[in-house]
Amino acid sequence: MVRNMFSPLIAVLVLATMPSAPSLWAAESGDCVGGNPTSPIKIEVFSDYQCPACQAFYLNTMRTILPEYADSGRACVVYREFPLSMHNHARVAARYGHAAKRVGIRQWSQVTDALFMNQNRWTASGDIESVVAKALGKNDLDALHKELKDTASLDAAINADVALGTQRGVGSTPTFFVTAKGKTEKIAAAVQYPILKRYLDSLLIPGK
Amino acid sequence: MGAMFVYAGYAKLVQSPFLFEMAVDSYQLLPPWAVLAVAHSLPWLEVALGLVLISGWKLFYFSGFATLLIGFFLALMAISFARGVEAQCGCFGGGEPVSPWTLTRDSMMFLIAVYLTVYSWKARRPRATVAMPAAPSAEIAS
Repeated sequence: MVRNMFSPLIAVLVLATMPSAPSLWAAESGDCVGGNPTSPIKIEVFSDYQCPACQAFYLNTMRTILPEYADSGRACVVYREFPLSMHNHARVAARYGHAAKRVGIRQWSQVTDALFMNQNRWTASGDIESVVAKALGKNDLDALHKELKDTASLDAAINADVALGTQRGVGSTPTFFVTAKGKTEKIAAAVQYPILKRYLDSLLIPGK
Repeated sequence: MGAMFVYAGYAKLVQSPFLFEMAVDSYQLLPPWAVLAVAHSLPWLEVALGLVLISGWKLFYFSGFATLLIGFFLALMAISFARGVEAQCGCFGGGEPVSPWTLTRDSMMFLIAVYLTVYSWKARRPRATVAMPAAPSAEIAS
């Protein structure tokens, strides 16, 4: 009886201590932006928002891989920042991308879509803000701006991604690593979806 | 040259075929069906060409073909490098990116193939240039 009486109160207290909805789904460097860490395949992409090959790879390949393999739990997709010094707006774009990841996976997806789809526009003007603003709702944009204020933390996370990539021999973008069955393969190319699909399907065959 | 071709084909055949498919695709020149066609036929073609070159059979024709093949690869790599496409050489299997080093190496192979073709062409010539006994002139005959 007493337990029943306090149940609603306990429930309210538990909910109050839980993280708010966006941060519940927020991700950091190394977290899956699609799929889950227990997936049989891990695809780790080192990408630069200003690189045309990364644009083609994301829009033509990874945007199909994410629903086909990650959403079905067959692959964990990790996106890491690797802004190249020759691209003058790449670092700022990486900050937007990483801040969006901290807000949430959905927001990262929306910002990444917008940045790659409008790459020519913001590459020419440097106006990343207007491109991102059109992609997000007001609440998400506010949350993004809040994250963007912490430039030092974002740069530290981006630098950590770059250092990891350099350590693993990333010399160009996109470079991705496919880990499955205890083996990792490095592929430095913007591979087309049907070709990557054949490789991923071969890795999903049991015992092979 | 023949051993090199055999090794190049063998290196591609022993690795995962999917990795070579991705290397061919990295040149961003072919649609998926053509990528698969090239990735599955090229290693066998290289092994066969290498064996024929080692045997020395019809050397002029096959060294000429090898020269054209290496020249084609070299042009492809140079164009991709100039376009800034981050292509994988795929020359001897493995994930080796196209770089000044791979271009230099393939240029050397191309020169060796050209030399082999010229050498085999010259080796064919003596039969045609053997001094023929002079025909008796009309004056002598008369």
